[in-house]
Amino acid sequence: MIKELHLKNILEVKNLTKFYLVKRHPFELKKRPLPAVVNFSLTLRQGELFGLVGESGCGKSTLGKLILLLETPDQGEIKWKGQDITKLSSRELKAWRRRCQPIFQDPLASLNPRQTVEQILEEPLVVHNLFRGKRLRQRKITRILQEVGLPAHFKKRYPHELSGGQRQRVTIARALILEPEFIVADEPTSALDVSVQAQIVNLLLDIQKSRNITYLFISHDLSLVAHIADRIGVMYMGQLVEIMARRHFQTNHHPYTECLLKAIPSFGKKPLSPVLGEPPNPLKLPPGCPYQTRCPYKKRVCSQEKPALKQITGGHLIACHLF
Amino acid sequence: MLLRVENLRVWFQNDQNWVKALSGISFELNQSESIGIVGESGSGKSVTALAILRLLPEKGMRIKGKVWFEDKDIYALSSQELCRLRGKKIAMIFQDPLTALNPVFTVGEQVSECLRYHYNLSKSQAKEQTIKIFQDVGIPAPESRFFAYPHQLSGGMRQRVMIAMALALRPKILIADEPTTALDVTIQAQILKLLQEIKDRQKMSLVFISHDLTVVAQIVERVLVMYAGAIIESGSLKQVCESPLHPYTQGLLNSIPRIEEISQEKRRLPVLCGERQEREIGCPFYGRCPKKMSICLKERPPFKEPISGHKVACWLYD
Repeated sequence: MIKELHLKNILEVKNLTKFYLVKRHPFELKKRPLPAVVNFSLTLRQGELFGLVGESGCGKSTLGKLILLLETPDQGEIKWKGQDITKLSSRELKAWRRRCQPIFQDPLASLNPRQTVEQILEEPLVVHNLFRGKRLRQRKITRILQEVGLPAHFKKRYPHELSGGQRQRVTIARALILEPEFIVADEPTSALDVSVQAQIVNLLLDIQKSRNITYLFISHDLSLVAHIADRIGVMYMGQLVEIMARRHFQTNHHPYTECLLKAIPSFGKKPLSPVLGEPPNPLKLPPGCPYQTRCPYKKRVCSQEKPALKQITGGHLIACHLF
Repeated sequence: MLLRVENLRVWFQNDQNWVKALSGISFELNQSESIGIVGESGSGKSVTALAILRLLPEKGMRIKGKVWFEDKDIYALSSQELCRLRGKKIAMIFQDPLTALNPVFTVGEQVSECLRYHYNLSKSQAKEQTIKIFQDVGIPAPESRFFAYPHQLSGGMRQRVMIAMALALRPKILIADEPTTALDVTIQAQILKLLQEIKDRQKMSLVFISHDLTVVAQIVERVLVMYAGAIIESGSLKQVCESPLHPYTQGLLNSIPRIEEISQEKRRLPVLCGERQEREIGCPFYGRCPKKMSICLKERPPFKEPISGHKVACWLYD
């Protein structure tokens, strides 16, 4: 494994905040700000796979969209190798989009049903004016299909003719064809069967090794992320509550991470440990720690002061008053 | 014996062709027993569940074999008898509660409807009963939730409403078709715990369908593993999870990322190669099997019992 110290910071997210304006019922005149991502800071290092975990509605997908600039942040900056990409001109942005590619959850929804695999893979090359000439592009497409483990005759197929795993391979090929340095994978395997999930995850790991790509791997499945990530971030109500390297996995955790770990079903673990309640309404969050409504270790300070991310040991950060 | 499925075969019409969805499913379910049906998408788990309740569409479908419930053939019942069976004797919970619930009625109305229909209760009696059941399934503030519409509830609460509806008539068998797949792990753990408690309290039999063997392992005693419309392995939970016989079950168990096995070093997940292919003759798992032999290509393996209580359909154990 590469020593962490030698890794270069590639992406720095600082105090990123995004509010969505929502109405609580259709006739309400005033829209309320719903905090999706709050004061989010994160640094990704070159060539690492950063796994981001959280429940549905915790803002992990919003964060992915913000980093891809599919949503405009309300506050904060996203720095790519020192340059703030939220302030780029549209031409610079196009160049940046080549380096940063997404893989989404549902491959059938993210592939155009009226395009063949060949057309799907050719379009990014045409848009970015790479590999000029039909023959060069064809050769590139064949090569990329081979890399993701699809036979060349799949070029003429439409997405509906492929299985779920094959479709996800096509979206991976589409992301890779521009030779990006950074991939945001938003739940790339949650629509797939376990056996196919393992295949797709291995493909992503192989690509990481062969191309030195940096990943932001967003998932709700902590046990999957713990297997493949170099570092893991746990998100709750739009904030990071814990960041750990994989060597910290067997140590103490934030109460929320603990609860997630307990909730994972496994063989020979019976009866199930009770998990506390449902996530609170983000419009009515109490002051202080966002996790206090479900936390079994709640103290008085938790409802008064919001805990900041503190270093526990080197590279292991937890936002909790217990530590 | 509460439920017996005998050589169930189902075909669906696709244009002019008949596609086989189930090829000979047989199993038995006893009083207060819980079995899990596991398999990947398209393996026929849901079709099996729907076929038990005779919920498959009549058009474009052909079915052979028998489903016995307490000595009654479900496919020989009149529609009136069928109405009395569904819900009251065998109830079902579906995967996505938002599509299974009616969006224009309050959840209270929907649950009390089945009480009024089956027991001829008055509106106020049914309401009282419904609120009691809501309490049993752990819905907080059941009086006010009675008047909530499905969209006003969270996913976990909606699934609790579905469970309340299924349990309202105290069925003998509960069929749960992927009841936790649409939920977060934290909520999933709560729902599984609830089902376990209710099952023990009411001495109910449970058929739990899931693609996730680890989820099934939390709640059932016996497991059936399905592949390509057939049961390829069955046995007690311990037998199937700790010493699986079929190469498919072995591969499936290996490819699940388990939380106990996190290593310091990052590594690839063990993989079951390839994807499912349709084949008429021979073993349906042939194309992906790491232990294939020449006989597997020619003949379908019989469902045998090499170890007492542990059955498998594989030529390795012949």
